[in-house]
Amino acid sequence: MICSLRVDERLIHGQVAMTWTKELRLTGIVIANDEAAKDEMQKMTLKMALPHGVKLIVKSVEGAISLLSDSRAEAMRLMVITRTVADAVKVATAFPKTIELVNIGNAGKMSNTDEKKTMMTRAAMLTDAEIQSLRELVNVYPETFFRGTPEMEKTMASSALKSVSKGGKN
Amino acid sequence: MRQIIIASHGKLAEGVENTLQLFTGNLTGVSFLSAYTEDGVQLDDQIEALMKTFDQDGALFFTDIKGGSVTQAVVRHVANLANVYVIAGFNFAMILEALMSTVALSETFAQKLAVSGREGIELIEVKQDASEQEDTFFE
Repeated sequence: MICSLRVDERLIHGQVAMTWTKELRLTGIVIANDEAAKDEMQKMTLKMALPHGVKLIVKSVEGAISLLSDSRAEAMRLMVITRTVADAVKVATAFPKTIELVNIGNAGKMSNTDEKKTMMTRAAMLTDAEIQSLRELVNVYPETFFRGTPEMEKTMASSALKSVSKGGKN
Repeated sequence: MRQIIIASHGKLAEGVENTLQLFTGNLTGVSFLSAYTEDGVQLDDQIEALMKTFDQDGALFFTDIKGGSVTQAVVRHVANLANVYVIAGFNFAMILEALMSTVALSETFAQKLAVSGREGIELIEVKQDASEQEDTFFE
């Protein structure tokens, strides 16, 4: 089962490895990212960040969707991590009912782009295209929320989107 | 409640506090002791002030280096107290593990933290074929 779909540009790191893994009693992490799937060095560093007793597989977004359709995935407690909201929309659309939590952790702070970004929370800045993707994500999963770790403040994506429109930025 | 104290020569402890805030919003029951940073502030007084917060749930000190004067001073003050432990030579992983845990303080628990802290230190070797293939993932 997919316990959580998470957008996190850092993929697996302290927040995921130390807190969510325990909170959700995960047995596996699926990275759904086209670049990472082709990058052996990145696979190695991700494996290093993995907590004990948790399995890892790094797939392209399409590859991850097909892996998650495997009936054996039902027996595991999985977190699927994408780097962008747009990729998360692809996963969410493929599994529109069965994902327990849809969560955005860290976004938009590492990528170098000249595009204008809007601050959604302290840890998430989104381009206009990503905000549009977030609207699509909220359409599929209305309970989508921003949260770094389980102890941190939770912001519903729907209300963050409302304040974006109020600001007249879109 | 159990108290956790991070103690260092200089501002290492403050740096740990700053980093911990990125990992966990809740630092209740955690104190930071930066020794020798202010003129006129005595390490003994800093330790004694912290000890006033101790109750029956106990306390766990993480000190920066075994044999250092901070560790020595802490040990001198708490050596005879029940359910108070000192781990010398902390690393970030063991502190985080202690904070995340809901287990009550005990010698066994402190020993376990010392072991997992040590296990967290390793020379990284570059390996290929790091991630699982589908069949091993589902095993």
